[in-house]
Amino acid sequence: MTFKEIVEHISCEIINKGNDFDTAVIENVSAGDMMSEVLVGDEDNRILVTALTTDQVVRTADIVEARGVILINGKRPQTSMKTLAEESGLTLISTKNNMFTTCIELGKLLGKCK
Amino acid sequence: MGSVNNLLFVNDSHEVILESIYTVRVKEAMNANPMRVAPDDTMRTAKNIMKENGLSGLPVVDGNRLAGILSLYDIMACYDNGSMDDKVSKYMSRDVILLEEDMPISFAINYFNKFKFRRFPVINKNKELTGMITARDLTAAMLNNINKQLQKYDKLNMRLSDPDPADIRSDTVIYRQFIVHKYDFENAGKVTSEIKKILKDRGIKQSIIRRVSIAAYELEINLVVHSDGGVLIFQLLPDAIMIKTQDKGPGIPDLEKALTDGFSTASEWIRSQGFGAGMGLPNVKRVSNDFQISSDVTGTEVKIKINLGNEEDESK
Repeated sequence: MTFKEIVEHISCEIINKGNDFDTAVIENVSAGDMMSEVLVGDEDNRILVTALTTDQVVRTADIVEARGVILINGKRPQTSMKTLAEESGLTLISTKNNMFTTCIELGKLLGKCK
Repeated sequence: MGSVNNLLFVNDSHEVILESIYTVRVKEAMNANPMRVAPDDTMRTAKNIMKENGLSGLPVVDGNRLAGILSLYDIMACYDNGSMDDKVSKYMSRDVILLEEDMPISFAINYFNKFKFRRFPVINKNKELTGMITARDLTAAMLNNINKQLQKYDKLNMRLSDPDPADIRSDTVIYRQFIVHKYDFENAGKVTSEIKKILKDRGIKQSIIRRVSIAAYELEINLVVHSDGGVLIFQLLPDAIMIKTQDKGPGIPDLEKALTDGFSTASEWIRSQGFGAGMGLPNVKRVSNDFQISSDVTGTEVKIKINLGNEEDESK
Protein backbone atom coordinates (compact mmCIF):
# COMPACT_ATOMS: atom_id res chain seq x y z
CA MET A 1 0.00 0.00 0.00
CA THR A 2 1.34 3.42 -0.95
CA PHE A 3 0.39 6.89 0.21
CA LYS A 4 -0.99 7.54 -3.27
CA GLU A 5 -3.39 4.60 -2.88
CA ILE A 6 -4.42 5.78 0.58
CA VAL A 7 -5.19 9.27 -0.67
CA GLU A 8 -7.16 7.87 -3.63
CA HIS A 9 -9.28 5.48 -1.57
CA ILE A 10 -9.83 7.33 1.67
CA SER A 11 -11.40 10.74 1.81
CA CYS A 12 -8.63 12.73 3.42
CA GLU A 13 -6.39 15.77 3.34
CA ILE A 14 -2.60 15.72 3.21
CA ILE A 15 -1.24 18.02 5.91
CA ASN A 16 2.42 17.23 5.37
CA LYS A 17 4.09 15.27 2.60
CA GLY A 18 6.96 13.36 4.17
CA ASN A 19 10.34 12.67 2.60
CA ASP A 20 9.26 9.20 1.45
CA PHE A 21 5.70 10.11 0.41
CA ASP A 22 6.18 8.87 -3.16
CA THR A 23 8.30 5.84 -2.36
CA ALA A 24 7.11 4.37 0.96
CA VAL A 25 5.41 0.98 0.94
CA ILE A 26 3.18 0.57 3.95
CA GLU A 27 2.69 -2.95 5.25
CA ASN A 28 1.19 -2.52 8.71
CA VAL A 29 -1.20 -0.38 10.70
CA SER A 30 -1.08 0.63 14.39
CA ALA A 31 -4.28 2.25 15.64
CA GLY A 32 -4.81 3.83 19.05
CA ASP A 33 -4.51 6.88 21.25
CA MET A 34 -2.10 5.38 23.78
CA MET A 35 1.46 5.77 22.60
CA SER A 36 2.82 2.92 24.74
CA GLU A 37 0.43 0.57 22.95
CA VAL A 38 1.97 1.65 19.67
CA LEU A 39 5.43 0.93 21.08
CA VAL A 40 4.43 -2.64 21.92
CA GLY A 41 4.45 -3.76 18.28
CA ASP A 42 7.60 -4.17 16.26
CA GLU A 43 6.21 -4.38 12.74
CA ASP A 44 8.12 -2.52 10.07
CA ASN A 45 6.71 0.02 7.62
CA ARG A 46 3.77 1.04 9.75
CA ILE A 47 1.27 3.82 9.53
CA LEU A 48 -0.20 5.14 12.78
CA VAL A 49 -3.92 5.88 13.05
CA THR A 50 -4.83 8.06 16.02
CA ALA A 51 -7.03 10.84 17.36
CA LEU A 52 -4.17 12.28 19.39
CA THR A 53 -2.78 15.53 17.97
CA THR A 54 0.30 16.18 20.13
CA ASP A 55 4.05 16.20 19.44
CA GLN A 56 4.32 12.84 21.16
CA VAL A 57 2.64 11.14 18.19
CA VAL A 58 5.43 12.31 15.89
CA ARG A 59 8.08 11.29 18.43
CA THR A 60 6.49 7.85 18.79
CA ALA A 61 6.27 7.51 15.00
CA ASP A 62 9.95 8.37 14.83
CA ILE A 63 10.89 5.71 17.39
CA VAL A 64 9.00 2.91 15.61
CA GLU A 65 10.13 4.26 12.22
CA ALA A 66 6.52 4.64 11.12
CA ARG A 67 6.04 5.94 7.59
CA GLY A 68 3.21 8.30 8.45
CA VAL A 69 0.32 9.29 10.69
CA ILE A 70 -3.40 9.46 9.91
CA LEU A 71 -5.46 11.68 12.21
CA ILE A 72 -9.11 10.58 12.41
CA ASN A 73 -12.47 12.28 13.03
CA GLY A 74 -11.33 15.36 11.11
CA LYS A 75 -8.73 16.19 13.78
CA ARG A 76 -6.16 18.83 12.93
CA PRO A 77 -2.64 18.61 14.34
CA GLN A 78 -1.61 21.06 17.03
CA THR A 79 0.73 23.67 15.57
CA SER A 80 3.76 22.18 17.30
CA MET A 81 2.85 18.69 16.03
CA LYS A 82 2.65 19.96 12.45
CA THR A 83 5.99 21.76 12.79
CA LEU A 84 7.64 18.66 14.22
CA ALA A 85 6.23 16.49 11.40
CA GLU A 86 7.64 18.95 8.85
CA GLU A 87 11.02 18.97 10.57
CA SER A 88 11.20 15.17 10.76
CA GLY A 89 9.91 14.67 7.21
CA LEU A 90 6.93 12.60 8.37
CA THR A 91 3.76 12.29 6.31
CA LEU A 92 0.68 13.61 8.12
CA ILE A 93 -2.83 13.00 6.84
CA SER A 94 -6.22 13.99 8.27
CA THR A 95 -9.45 12.14 7.51
CA LYS A 96 -13.03 12.85 8.56
CA ASN A 97 -13.61 9.10 8.93
CA ASN A 98 -13.64 7.52 12.38
CA MET A 99 -11.09 5.01 13.67
CA PHE A 100 -13.15 1.93 12.69
CA THR A 101 -13.88 3.06 9.14
CA THR A 102 -10.31 4.22 8.59
CA CYS A 103 -8.93 0.87 9.74
CA ILE A 104 -11.37 -1.06 7.52
CA GLU A 105 -10.37 1.01 4.49
CA LEU A 106 -6.67 0.50 5.24
CA GLY A 107 -7.35 -3.21 5.77
CA LYS A 108 -8.98 -3.43 2.33
CA LEU A 109 -6.01 -1.71 0.72
CA LEU A 110 -3.65 -4.14 2.46
CA GLY A 111 -5.82 -7.04 1.29
CA LYS A 112 -6.50 -8.03 4.91
CA CYS A 113 -10.28 -7.58 4.66
CA LYS A 114 -12.84 -7.77 1.85
CA MET B 1 12.86 35.04 28.20
CA GLY B 2 10.44 35.57 25.43
CA SER B 3 7.18 36.77 26.94
CA VAL B 4 5.41 39.57 25.08
CA ASN B 5 4.11 40.74 28.43
CA ASN B 6 7.58 40.64 29.96
CA LEU B 7 5.98 38.66 32.72
CA LEU B 8 7.14 35.13 32.61
CA PHE B 9 9.85 33.11 30.99
CA VAL B 10 10.44 29.45 30.46
CA ASN B 11 13.47 28.16 28.64
CA ASP B 12 16.61 29.19 30.41
CA SER B 13 15.24 29.53 33.90
CA HIS B 14 16.64 28.02 37.04
CA GLU B 15 15.53 24.49 37.85
CA VAL B 16 13.46 25.63 40.80
CA ILE B 17 11.43 27.93 38.57
CA LEU B 18 11.00 25.26 35.92
CA GLU B 19 9.90 22.90 38.64
CA SER B 20 7.13 25.31 39.64
CA ILE B 21 6.04 25.86 36.08
CA TYR B 22 5.52 22.18 35.55
CA THR B 23 4.23 21.17 38.98
CA VAL B 24 1.71 23.83 39.94
CA ARG B 25 -1.70 23.18 38.41
CA VAL B 26 -3.92 25.87 36.96
CA LYS B 27 -6.48 24.95 39.64
CA GLU B 28 -4.06 25.99 42.41
CA ALA B 29 -3.26 29.34 40.81
CA MET B 30 -6.66 30.47 39.52
CA ASN B 31 -9.19 32.72 41.16
CA ALA B 32 -11.99 30.27 41.98
CA ASN B 33 -15.63 31.31 41.77
CA PRO B 34 -15.05 34.50 39.79
CA MET B 35 -17.66 37.21 39.17
CA ARG B 36 -19.81 36.35 36.16
CA VAL B 37 -22.82 37.46 34.11
CA ALA B 38 -25.54 35.58 32.20
CA PRO B 39 -26.14 35.99 28.44
CA ASP B 40 -29.52 37.60 29.18
CA ASP B 41 -28.12 40.16 31.63
CA THR B 42 -27.90 43.73 30.33
CA MET B 43 -24.66 45.38 29.35
CA ARG B 44 -25.35 47.89 32.15
CA THR B 45 -25.26 45.09 34.73
CA ALA B 46 -22.00 43.79 33.25
CA LYS B 47 -20.45 47.28 33.19
CA ASN B 48 -21.40 47.86 36.84
CA ILE B 49 -19.89 44.54 37.97
CA MET B 50 -16.66 45.29 36.11
CA LYS B 51 -16.50 48.83 37.48
CA GLU B 52 -17.21 47.84 41.09
CA ASN B 53 -14.69 44.99 41.05
CA GLY B 54 -12.00 46.61 38.91
CA LEU B 55 -12.21 43.90 36.25
CA SER B 56 -11.32 44.21 32.58
CA GLY B 57 -13.17 41.06 31.53
CA LEU B 58 -16.07 38.89 32.70
CA PRO B 59 -17.03 35.31 31.86
CA VAL B 60 -20.55 34.87 30.53
CA VAL B 61 -22.16 31.76 31.98
CA ASP B 62 -25.36 30.05 30.89
CA GLY B 63 -26.38 27.68 33.69
CA ASN B 64 -23.04 26.07 34.46
CA ARG B 65 -21.68 26.29 30.95
CA LEU B 66 -19.34 28.98 29.75
CA ALA B 67 -21.08 30.82 26.89
CA GLY B 68 -18.52 33.52 26.16
CA ILE B 69 -16.41 36.29 27.54
CA LEU B 70 -17.06 40.02 27.77
CA SER B 71 -14.22 42.52 27.71
CA LEU B 72 -13.92 46.29 28.19
CA TYR B 73 -13.74 46.55 24.40
CA ASP B 74 -17.20 45.01 24.16
CA ILE B 75 -18.51 47.59 26.66
CA MET B 76 -16.94 50.33 24.52
CA ALA B 77 -18.49 48.91 21.36
CA CYS B 78 -21.86 48.96 23.10
CA TYR B 79 -21.39 52.64 24.10
CA ASP B 80 -20.62 53.48 20.48
CA ASN B 81 -23.18 51.44 18.62
CA GLY B 82 -25.90 50.26 20.97
CA SER B 83 -27.76 50.68 24.20
CA MET B 84 -26.65 49.67 27.68
CA ASP B 85 -30.04 47.88 27.90
CA ASP B 86 -28.91 45.44 25.21
CA LYS B 87 -28.23 41.88 26.26
CA VAL B 88 -24.70 40.69 26.99
CA SER B 89 -25.12 37.89 24.40
CA LYS B 90 -25.17 40.51 21.63
CA TYR B 91 -21.64 41.73 22.39
CA MET B 92 -19.78 38.88 24.09
CA SER B 93 -17.16 37.00 22.18
CA ARG B 94 -18.05 33.33 21.77
CA ASP B 95 -14.69 32.21 20.52
CA VAL B 96 -13.09 31.72 23.92
CA ILE B 97 -9.65 30.33 24.64
CA LEU B 98 -9.85 28.08 27.67
CA LEU B 99 -7.58 26.45 30.17
CA GLU B 100 -8.38 23.22 31.98
CA GLU B 101 -7.90 23.18 35.73
CA ASP B 102 -5.70 20.06 35.70
CA MET B 103 -3.16 21.52 33.27
CA PRO B 104 0.21 22.56 34.66
CA ILE B 105 0.66 26.34 34.63
CA SER B 106 3.24 25.98 31.83
CA PHE B 107 0.18 25.90 29.55
CA ALA B 108 -1.17 29.13 31.06
CA ILE B 109 2.23 30.83 30.59
CA ASN B 110 2.24 29.77 26.95
CA TYR B 111 -1.26 31.12 26.47
CA PHE B 112 -0.30 34.47 27.94
CA ASN B 113 2.68 34.55 25.60
CA LYS B 114 0.71 33.43 22.57
CA PHE B 115 -2.52 35.40 22.93
CA LYS B 116 -3.01 39.03 23.86
CA PHE B 117 -5.77 38.35 26.43
CA ARG B 118 -5.31 39.44 30.03
CA ARG B 119 -7.32 36.64 31.58
CA PHE B 120 -8.42 33.14 30.64
CA PRO B 121 -11.46 31.22 31.85
CA VAL B 122 -10.72 27.87 33.50
CA ILE B 123 -13.05 24.88 33.12
CA ASN B 124 -13.27 21.48 34.81
CA LYS B 125 -13.75 18.05 33.25
CA ASN B 126 -17.50 18.70 32.86
CA LYS B 127 -16.74 21.89 30.91
CA GLU B 128 -18.09 24.02 33.75
CA LEU B 129 -16.46 27.34 34.56
CA THR B 130 -14.53 26.99 37.81
CA GLY B 131 -12.26 30.02 37.74
CA MET B 132 -10.43 32.79 35.95
CA ILE B 133 -6.68 33.20 35.79
CA THR B 134 -4.57 36.33 35.25
CA ALA B 135 -0.82 36.76 34.91
CA ARG B 136 -0.82 38.15 38.44
CA ASP B 137 -2.43 34.95 39.74
CA LEU B 138 0.30 32.97 37.98
CA THR B 139 3.11 34.99 39.49
CA ALA B 140 1.66 34.69 42.98
CA ALA B 141 1.22 30.93 42.69
CA MET B 142 4.73 30.48 41.34
CA LEU B 143 6.40 32.57 44.04
CA ASN B 144 4.52 30.61 46.63
CA ASN B 145 5.68 27.33 45.13
CA ILE B 146 9.27 28.50 44.58
CA ASN B 147 9.51 29.33 48.28
CA LYS B 148 8.52 25.78 49.13
CA GLN B 149 10.81 24.25 46.50
CA LEU B 150 13.87 26.21 47.60
CA GLN B 151 13.67 24.72 51.06
CA LYS B 152 14.33 21.24 49.72
CA TYR B 153 16.23 22.14 46.56
CA ASP B 154 19.89 22.14 47.62
CA LYS B 155 19.85 18.65 49.03
CA LEU B 156 18.16 17.21 45.95
CA ASN B 157 20.33 19.05 43.48
CA MET B 158 23.48 17.62 45.05
CA ARG B 159 22.06 14.17 44.79
CA LEU B 160 21.14 14.58 41.14
CA SER B 161 24.26 16.30 39.86
CA ASP B 162 26.81 13.90 41.30
CA PRO B 163 26.94 10.71 39.30
CA ASP B 164 27.66 7.66 41.38
CA PRO B 165 31.25 6.63 40.38
CA ALA B 166 30.13 3.01 40.61
CA ASP B 167 27.79 3.68 37.69
CA ILE B 168 30.49 4.75 35.28
CA ARG B 169 32.41 1.83 33.82
CA SER B 170 36.00 2.51 32.90
CA ASP B 171 35.40 1.42 29.30
CA THR B 172 32.51 3.85 28.78
CA VAL B 173 32.56 5.26 25.24
CA ILE B 174 29.91 7.93 25.73
CA TYR B 175 28.33 9.14 28.97
CA ARG B 176 25.42 11.59 29.01
CA GLN B 177 23.20 12.82 31.79
CA PHE B 178 19.86 14.53 31.13
CA ILE B 179 17.53 16.28 33.59
CA VAL B 180 13.84 15.58 33.01
CA HIS B 181 11.13 17.72 34.60
CA LYS B 182 7.77 16.72 35.98
CA TYR B 183 4.84 17.34 33.59
CA ASP B 184 7.10 18.82 30.90
CA PHE B 185 5.10 17.30 28.03
CA GLU B 186 6.37 19.86 25.56
CA ASN B 187 9.93 18.54 25.83
CA ALA B 188 9.15 14.91 26.60
CA GLY B 189 10.90 12.76 24.03
CA LYS B 190 13.77 15.14 23.31
CA VAL B 191 16.21 13.12 25.42
CA THR B 192 15.27 10.03 23.42
CA SER B 193 15.78 11.90 20.13
CA GLU B 194 19.23 12.93 21.35
CA ILE B 195 20.15 9.36 22.30
CA LYS B 196 18.83 8.07 18.98
CA LYS B 197 20.98 10.59 17.15
CA ILE B 198 24.11 9.56 19.09
CA LEU B 199 23.51 5.90 18.21
CA LYS B 200 22.78 6.66 14.54
CA ASP B 201 25.96 8.73 14.27
CA ARG B 202 27.87 5.76 15.71
CA GLY B 203 26.36 3.43 13.10
CA ILE B 204 24.61 1.20 15.64
CA LYS B 205 22.28 -1.41 14.12
CA GLN B 206 18.73 -0.21 13.42
CA SER B 207 17.04 -2.96 15.44
CA ILE B 208 19.14 -2.05 18.49
CA ILE B 209 18.42 1.66 18.05
CA ARG B 210 14.71 0.93 18.04
CA ARG B 211 14.87 -1.08 21.28
CA VAL B 212 17.00 1.55 23.01
CA SER B 213 14.63 4.28 21.81
CA ILE B 214 11.58 2.47 23.14
CA ALA B 215 13.22 1.96 26.54
CA ALA B 216 14.57 5.52 26.73
CA TYR B 217 11.25 7.03 25.66
CA GLU B 218 9.16 5.04 28.15
CA LEU B 219 11.59 5.85 30.96
CA GLU B 220 11.66 9.51 29.97
CA ILE B 221 7.85 9.64 29.86
CA ASN B 222 7.72 7.95 33.27
CA LEU B 223 9.86 10.73 34.73
CA VAL B 224 7.55 13.34 33.18
CA VAL B 225 4.28 11.65 34.08
CA HIS B 226 4.88 9.89 37.39
CA SER B 227 7.92 11.36 39.16
CA ASP B 228 8.71 14.69 40.75
CA GLY B 229 11.46 15.01 38.15
CA GLY B 230 14.79 13.25 37.84
CA VAL B 231 17.73 12.33 35.67
CA LEU B 232 18.25 9.93 32.83
CA ILE B 233 21.79 8.63 32.42
CA PHE B 234 22.88 7.13 29.13
CA GLN B 235 26.06 5.13 28.63
CA LEU B 236 27.39 3.59 25.49
CA LEU B 237 29.76 0.72 26.28
CA PRO B 238 31.76 -1.37 23.80
CA ASP B 239 29.33 -4.28 24.13
CA ALA B 240 26.10 -2.76 25.45
CA ILE B 241 24.00 0.29 26.13
CA MET B 242 23.00 1.15 29.66
CA ILE B 243 20.28 3.53 30.72
CA LYS B 244 19.55 4.50 34.27
CA THR B 245 16.84 6.78 35.57
CA GLN B 246 16.76 8.16 39.06
CA ASP B 247 13.98 10.38 40.33
CA LYS B 248 13.11 12.45 43.38
CA GLY B 249 10.05 10.47 44.34
CA PRO B 250 7.29 9.87 45.18
CA GLY B 251 8.12 6.20 44.59
CA ILE B 252 6.04 3.31 43.28
CA PRO B 253 3.74 1.90 45.99
CA ASP B 254 3.35 -1.52 44.36
CA LEU B 255 6.20 -2.54 42.07
CA GLU B 256 4.63 -5.82 41.06
CA LYS B 257 1.50 -4.07 39.82
CA ALA B 258 3.53 -1.41 38.00
CA LEU B 259 5.21 -4.18 36.05
CA THR B 260 1.86 -5.68 35.02
CA ASP B 261 0.61 -4.93 31.51
CA GLY B 262 -2.25 -2.46 31.63
CA PHE B 263 -1.91 -1.36 35.26
CA SER B 264 -1.81 2.44 35.44
CA THR B 265 -2.11 5.16 38.06
CA ALA B 266 -2.24 7.96 35.47
CA SER B 267 -4.92 10.64 35.73
CA GLU B 268 -7.48 11.31 33.05
CA TRP B 269 -5.61 14.39 31.92
CA ILE B 270 -2.39 12.43 31.43
CA ARG B 271 -4.34 9.86 29.44
CA SER B 272 -5.68 12.64 27.23
CA GLN B 273 -2.02 13.36 26.39
CA GLY B 274 -1.66 9.79 25.10
CA PHE B 275 0.04 8.25 28.11
CA GLY B 276 -0.95 6.05 31.02
CA ALA B 277 -1.86 2.90 29.10
CA GLY B 278 -0.06 0.90 31.77
CA MET B 279 2.47 -0.41 29.27
CA GLY B 280 5.45 1.75 30.17
CA LEU B 281 7.58 -0.44 32.43
CA PRO B 282 6.47 -3.70 30.75
CA ASN B 283 7.62 -2.20 27.42
CA VAL B 284 11.00 -1.26 28.91
CA LYS B 285 11.42 -4.74 30.33
CA ARG B 286 10.43 -6.35 27.04
CA VAL B 287 13.17 -4.63 25.02
CA SER B 288 15.91 -4.94 27.65
CA ASN B 289 18.41 -7.76 28.17
CA ASP B 290 18.76 -6.80 31.79
CA PHE B 291 16.22 -4.86 33.88
CA GLN B 292 16.50 -3.76 37.50
CA ILE B 293 14.16 -1.55 39.47
CA SER B 294 14.04 -0.35 43.05
CA SER B 295 11.69 2.13 44.61
CA ASP B 296 10.85 3.72 47.93
CA VAL B 297 9.33 7.04 48.98
CA THR B 298 12.58 8.91 48.29
CA GLY B 299 12.54 7.86 44.66
CA THR B 300 12.69 5.20 42.01
CA GLU B 301 15.74 3.88 40.22
CA VAL B 302 15.59 1.88 37.01
CA LYS B 303 18.69 0.35 35.38
CA ILE B 304 18.55 -1.41 32.07
CA LYS B 305 21.03 -2.92 29.68
CA ILE B 306 20.64 -3.67 26.00
CA ASN B 307 23.38 -5.80 24.43
CA LEU B 308 24.93 -4.73 21.17
CA GLY B 309 25.45 -8.36 20.18
CA ASN B 310 23.53 -10.69 17.88
CA GLU B 311 19.82 -10.62 17.23
CA GLU B 312 19.60 -13.98 19.06
CA ASP B 313 20.45 -12.10 22.22
CA GLU B 314 17.27 -10.07 22.01
CA SER B 315 15.03 -10.64 24.98
CA LYS B 316 11.39 -11.27 24.26
